Amino acid sequence: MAILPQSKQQQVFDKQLDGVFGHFKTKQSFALNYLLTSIKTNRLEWLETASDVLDIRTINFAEIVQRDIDYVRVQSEIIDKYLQKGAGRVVFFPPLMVTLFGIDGGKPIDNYTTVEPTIETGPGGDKYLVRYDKSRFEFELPLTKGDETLHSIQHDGQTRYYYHYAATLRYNSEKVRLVVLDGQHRLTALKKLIEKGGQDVISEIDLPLCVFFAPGAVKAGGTQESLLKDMRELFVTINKEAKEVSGHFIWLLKDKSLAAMCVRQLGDAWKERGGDFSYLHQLEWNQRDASKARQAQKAYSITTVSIIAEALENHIFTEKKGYTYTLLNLGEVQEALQANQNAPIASEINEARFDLDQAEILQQQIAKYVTPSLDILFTGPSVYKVVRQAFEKALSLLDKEVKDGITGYAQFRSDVLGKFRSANQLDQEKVQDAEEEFTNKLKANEELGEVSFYRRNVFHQALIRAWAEVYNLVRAYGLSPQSVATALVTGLEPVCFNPKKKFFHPYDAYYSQRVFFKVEKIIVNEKSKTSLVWLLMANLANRKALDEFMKALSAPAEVASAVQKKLKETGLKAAGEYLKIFRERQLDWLEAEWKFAELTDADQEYLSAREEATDEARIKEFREKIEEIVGKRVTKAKDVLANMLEVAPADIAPGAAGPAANGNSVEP
Amino acid sequence: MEQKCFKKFDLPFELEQLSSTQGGIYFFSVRFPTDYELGITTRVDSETVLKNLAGRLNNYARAYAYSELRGVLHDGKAEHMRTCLEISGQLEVCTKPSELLESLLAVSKPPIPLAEITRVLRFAFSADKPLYIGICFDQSFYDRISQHVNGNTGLLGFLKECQMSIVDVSVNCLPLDVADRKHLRCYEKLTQSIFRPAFSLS
Repeated sequence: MAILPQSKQQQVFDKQLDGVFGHFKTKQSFALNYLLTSIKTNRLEWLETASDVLDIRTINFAEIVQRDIDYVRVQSEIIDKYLQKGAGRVVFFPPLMVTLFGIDGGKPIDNYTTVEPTIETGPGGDKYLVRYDKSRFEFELPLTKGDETLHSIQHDGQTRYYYHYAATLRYNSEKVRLVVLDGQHRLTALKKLIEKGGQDVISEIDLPLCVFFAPGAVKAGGTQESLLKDMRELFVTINKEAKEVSGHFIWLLKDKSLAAMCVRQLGDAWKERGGDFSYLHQLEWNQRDASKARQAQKAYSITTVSIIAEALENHIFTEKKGYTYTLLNLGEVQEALQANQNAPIASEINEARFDLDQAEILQQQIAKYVTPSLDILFTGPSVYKVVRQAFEKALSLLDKEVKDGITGYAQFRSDVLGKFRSANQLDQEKVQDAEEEFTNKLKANEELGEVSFYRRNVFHQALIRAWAEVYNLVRAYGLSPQSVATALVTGLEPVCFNPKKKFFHPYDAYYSQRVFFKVEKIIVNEKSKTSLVWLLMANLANRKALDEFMKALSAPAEVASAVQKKLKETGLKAAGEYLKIFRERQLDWLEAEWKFAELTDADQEYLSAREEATDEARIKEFREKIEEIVGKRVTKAKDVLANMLEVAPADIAPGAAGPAANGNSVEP
Repeated sequence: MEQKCFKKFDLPFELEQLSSTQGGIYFFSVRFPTDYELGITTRVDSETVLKNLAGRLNNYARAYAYSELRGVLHDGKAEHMRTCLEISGQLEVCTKPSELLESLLAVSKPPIPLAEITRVLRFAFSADKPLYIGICFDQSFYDRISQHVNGNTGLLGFLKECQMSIVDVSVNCLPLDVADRKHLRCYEKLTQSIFRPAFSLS
């Protein structure tokens, strides 16, 4: 085999950076080597973001979260408010954290095949050279005597000293990419500024960099170290602490939270489902504006991470009712949870109370019971299948337009939709137009319009709470939360999820008024949220719904009839509890706004005459008249609800007429 | 819906089903966990299930043993001349249920299915031996039991001492409409005298 001259070998390394070399390692950790250097802005194309390099199919949800770039922040905070406004003050960027990302055949490598340290002697003195995978990259350190520097390495059993400030990194840009792990917004801002002709603003910048790599991830070395794992870990930890978070990111980056664990796992599960344009598109997760995080913003979303996490935090993982204990089946791991005797015991664990030592076990229980249940609750119902199908249909139309070569569509598909973002002013107009058309097609989808109520926060929290409540009722029968979730979504199909039934229609569902509808506007408050939980559970009073529920539950024969009886009673009781809220809301409203209610002339006259009465008798008459009107409305609401549920009004448990079954202040 | 006969409620899951209009006599007993809760039917490895079960049985035994060492020691003289000593002590458990469980499994070939063991134990616990007997006269069951669940009585402390918690007990309630507290108190004492429940303060 011919031996190449040294000068030819080095030509594979087409890029070079000089700087200060360092080594970072604790007693137990894997080692990291780094080079502190800088780069001129005309070489910014050497640097890339994780978003440019990481293929969405190869990474998990936590990494997608970290690589998400907030383009509004880039434009307004970094470009407009910082770089463009440098007059009369100093501006500076702290070093970007950059990793050497090895690539083979378009895919990231997991470890190096060879690492070859050598000492070369030349006219300028000895040099310590370490070459990775022969032609991937190399590090050069000029050697010197021990009394001139404190920095040393071991080579062939000997200690050799080097000048740490005169290191050189050379790399082959076909096999190595420089990926920014921290500072992606700063890099994007600089690139955008250049794109828009602002090169002169930043031409004098030496952008500080810290380039690092893991030297020990060598295949032949028998190590378990993985370059990808190292990079992921650094990526998530570095970015987690980086900036103040808001909107969905509060949940995505929260460590000590059961609710946050659930939504992260759900994000991961949905990312793996549905191919390239996965179900993750139906879960909004990257809204930074807190005011928009609690409602699905995109036409093709089913729900958002904040909606789910807040419902779990406020109603499920609380101190009340033991939901955390039952839904996570903490009984089966209670010994493991007590590994540390000072940690909270299984039944005391909730959103606010657990030790970090217990987090791993809790994550496992969430993965085993809650995440699959949430998946069922938000993908199982026909109304959510409609959303996914509409998205897939719009996507196939988009593919056709991309194929036809219509300008902007391909970029919208890959850069906007493919990156889970919305187009903004930084995108070309054609891209923005493509998005508008994509959204308009979805909005024109009539089926999607029919299911809009089911995509509201107020409905989602009710669905989660109803699932927990029903599970609580049947927990003693050895059924899993997933089986109850499946049974619930199946059981809700005949009435609740049947748009033709108009169970949540502001006019057809007379009982909805002033409870969760004010004419056509959805009321969002604690009462309306609770009322919807009762309304969902009232479905169990419907024979077909209960039959479907039981069929899907596949409960053991010996307990099936007991479960069915209990659920039927619960359905009727829930209808009563709902009507109790209807009564309260109608009373509150009519007492304050009877003038605006549709009353008979006689009633209007009667109330007007007593409106400002001061004597007790007339005040009482006023009050009794309101009660009488409300009573009639409750009767009508009860009839409509009974008709929807196909039960006799008399079968609906008391609640509307008086206190709840046990008189307690009941909160489902 | 008024409760007419005695009824059992698992805590804290069924707390809100307790009557908030009726009072009467109630007692707490150990709620033996379901096979699902123990991990038998949820693909948990048998070693973990066994450890879980053994730990729980030791705790239940400790809770019930608590009562047996509180009482009165007296000589055989006539009642008016009798010397009585109130005594209490800590039980040194000679044989723990966990050890018996271990030996049971060690000798049986083929191994006894865990579900059979829990069936037997569930049968034994279905007797609902009281751990605590109490009354609520001018208070509803809901209000009184909430006090226990919320830690406003000594119940949680007692359970904790036995490494148990509120999810390990059920409450059995019998509504009684009686005219005065003494009447109810008599029933409480009567039943306590029979069962000498671990945590009743009579």
